[in-house]
Amino acid sequence: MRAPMLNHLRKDLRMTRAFWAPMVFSYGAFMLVFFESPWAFLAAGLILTFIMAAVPMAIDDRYRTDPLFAGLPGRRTGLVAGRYLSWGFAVMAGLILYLGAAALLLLAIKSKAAHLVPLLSMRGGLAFLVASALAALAFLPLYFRFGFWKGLWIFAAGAVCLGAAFSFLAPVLAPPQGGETAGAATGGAFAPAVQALIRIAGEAARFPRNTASCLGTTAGLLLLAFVSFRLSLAFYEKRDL
Amino acid sequence: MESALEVRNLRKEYPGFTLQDISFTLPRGYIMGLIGPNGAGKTTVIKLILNIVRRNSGEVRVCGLDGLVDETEAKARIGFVLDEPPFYGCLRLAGMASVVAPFYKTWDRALFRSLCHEFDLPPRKRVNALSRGMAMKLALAIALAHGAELILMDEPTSGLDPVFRRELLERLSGLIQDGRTSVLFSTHITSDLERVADFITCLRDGELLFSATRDEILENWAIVKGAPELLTEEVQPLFIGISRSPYGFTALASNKEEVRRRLAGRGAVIERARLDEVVFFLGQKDRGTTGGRR
Repeated sequence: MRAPMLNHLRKDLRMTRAFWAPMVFSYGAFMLVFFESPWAFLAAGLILTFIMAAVPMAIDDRYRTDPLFAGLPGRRTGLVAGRYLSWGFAVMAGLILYLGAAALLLLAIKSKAAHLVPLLSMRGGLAFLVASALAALAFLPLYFRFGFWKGLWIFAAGAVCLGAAFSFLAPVLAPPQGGETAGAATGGAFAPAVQALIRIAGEAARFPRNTASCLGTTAGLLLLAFVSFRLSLAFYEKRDL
Repeated sequence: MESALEVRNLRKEYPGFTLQDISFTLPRGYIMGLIGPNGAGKTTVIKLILNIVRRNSGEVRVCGLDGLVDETEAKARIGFVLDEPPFYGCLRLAGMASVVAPFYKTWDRALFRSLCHEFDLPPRKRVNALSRGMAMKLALAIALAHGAELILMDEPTSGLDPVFRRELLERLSGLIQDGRTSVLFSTHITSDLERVADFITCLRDGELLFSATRDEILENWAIVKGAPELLTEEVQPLFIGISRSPYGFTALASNKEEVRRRLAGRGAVIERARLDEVVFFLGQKDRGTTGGRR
């Protein structure tokens, strides 16, 4: 008998087997659609990875299997840890597909996809991993507290609100630089917000690459992971299934 | 006598329903039936034993192991069949078994195959193509395939055809012959209990009404019938439930000898109680009377 969390990972892989080929196809198709902007390319990769990681939960919700696994040998800790492990596995698979799609596009149409080169770096991969991890660490406690669909809606609503607030604050946080005029690149009322977001993203991409900053980021993520896991466990321990 | 299951002061509070300090013991090698009207708390008790539902207080010991402290080891000794088997409908039977098997170190693939064969379960069939009876058989095959010492079953016979119901009950009787395996099952069908149960535990509105051996109940409890004038204030406390009509009354008593002594020579008919009558009278909410003058 393996550790229950490994059994859960194995179960999730078993249940999602039929979706692997369509997911690979989706990565190829969506990445091709969004390759003209590196940010859209990154966002498409993140969303597809989130969907891929959430599929086992949707299947478990569809067949209401929570009571079955809660009744099998093991504790709730194992069930929660299994979900985190399964999510981590999906993120690593997503990273490989995302980088693979970028590399294939570069090989096939280098002239049109040259702007994807930065995404294929260590920094590009880390940006993908950090963003995926943040999404997972925010979503999983909601899943364990409210169940799949309700948790997903709350997560999505929270993300939209956060995005709207950030867009509103972005021009204040990153005011236009000298010579840049509002609405120059993108027309419409959202132009200042979009430009400010791009400036913030650019600043983040220039984040100093030294040991201290790497250690700081890793420590921050680990702390978030710990808090997220403890919250998930606290919620799931109390739930009647 | 070594116990397979000990439940002590088990309590669970829901809005509008409380399972109140339930205690009972199931010795090894016996079958216990859990009966009671709808909403009595039978499913809750089974889910509490499995920790699918979290208890507010109380203690559960499975084969001497604490259900919370030794949760993994305790659950490894349990095989369970839930009211609605929560299986992946998209999987074939063998696939479903392969999902569950890694959780049990004592899983016996050969035994599972032979149980499928015995229950006429085609391993290549998908779970969502199974009838309720077939799904119940699959759940039972999964519950038995790891040599469980305690089998918990929630309404396993409801929705089954009479032939398989009888086969299932015979199977349960066969299971306990090794003296090691015990069964706790909930049911509404009292004839099932009369056929196989050694112990009977009855719940109503979250309260434990009694937990005793079947023979004790059938020998000590009685149905008493008599004319209305027999139902005096001194006699009424002897009865647990009373059904009145213009021509007389029918009542359930838990002490046959006492009733016989008190009503001797007064024209009362005292009969051995059947379990369905026990459940009927105990199921009356006001614990008093039913029927009335028409």
